Amino acid sequence: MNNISGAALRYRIMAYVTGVVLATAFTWMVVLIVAWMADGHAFADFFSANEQKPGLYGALWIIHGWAYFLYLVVGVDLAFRLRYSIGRTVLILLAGTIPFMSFVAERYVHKDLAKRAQPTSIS
Amino acid sequence: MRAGLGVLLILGFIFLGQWQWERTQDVLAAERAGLAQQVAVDGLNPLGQPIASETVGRAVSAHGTYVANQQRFVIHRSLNGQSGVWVVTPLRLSDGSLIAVMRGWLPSDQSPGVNAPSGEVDITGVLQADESFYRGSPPDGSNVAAISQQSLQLGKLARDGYIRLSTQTPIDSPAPTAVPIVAQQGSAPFPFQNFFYAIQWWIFSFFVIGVYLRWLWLDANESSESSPRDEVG
Repeated sequence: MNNISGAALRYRIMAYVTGVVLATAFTWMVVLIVAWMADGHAFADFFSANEQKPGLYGALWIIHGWAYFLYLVVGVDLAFRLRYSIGRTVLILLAGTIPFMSFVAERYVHKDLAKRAQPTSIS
Repeated sequence: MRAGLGVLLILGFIFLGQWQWERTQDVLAAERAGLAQQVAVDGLNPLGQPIASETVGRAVSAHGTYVANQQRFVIHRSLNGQSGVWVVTPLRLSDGSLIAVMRGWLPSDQSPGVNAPSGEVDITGVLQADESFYRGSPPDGSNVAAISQQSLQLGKLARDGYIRLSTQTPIDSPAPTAVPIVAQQGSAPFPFQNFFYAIQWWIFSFFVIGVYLRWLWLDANESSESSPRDEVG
């Protein structure tokens, strides 16, 4: 189980891709909901009125779905290599579904890696 | 414990996939029901705009007065093997705009039933796009080769497309024979988002199996070796 830096890079890329797509889609959703409710519609109806949303908006969520799948694959791979516990692994994986959290998770993993690297860099 | 967690996740993901799959069906059904609902042609087919493809085939209603002196006959249209014409009469709506109404088939332009009622009528029908063949063929008096804005020559106040008449109040007596047309049907947008989410949940459940197997494999390897430290960098 070596080559952690490769796995960390793959994870980092997917954390950013997933995070950017999710943040964009989420921000856009908030904007659309505000406009929707300003028009006097009910909040709950927003999620069933698909035909009134831009095509790119729906596509972003689909892209996020597939990006998140890749995020899971590289995230699990990295967690295995770093011998993370189940709880920590699950938290890192869930971060890909919560807006802006994948950046936080990526920072956390990055710091953890830096901490682990210190003893070996001294020797 | 790990196996239990895995089974739980798999069952949960299958269930979530099922949920998204049902949502895909529900959204599609709701959209189709919305398309089947009858709407006033005024709102669906704005003046001066080309007919939107998703509105073709929609059930529409209209209220207005037929404009008899702009009636057209689409020639060479047979019904049940008998040659004849289609009668197309523009209907003037309350805002002054016109929408062509294909009232039905008659053996000739002299047959009884050719005259549309003169007063106000309420009609229902199916919204259709212009017939695109014979585009631009010059109209010969009131005889035209196809129903299109170019050949009908109804002027600037005419809305795009035409209504294939289903019902009319008051009725004509006698009336042109209703023509069965294979209607183009605008389709409801497919809810790809829910569809892909369903598939993704199911893929995730396979992914859990993969992760579990990898876990077992790593455990087996690790216990046989003397647990080497991870290298970083």
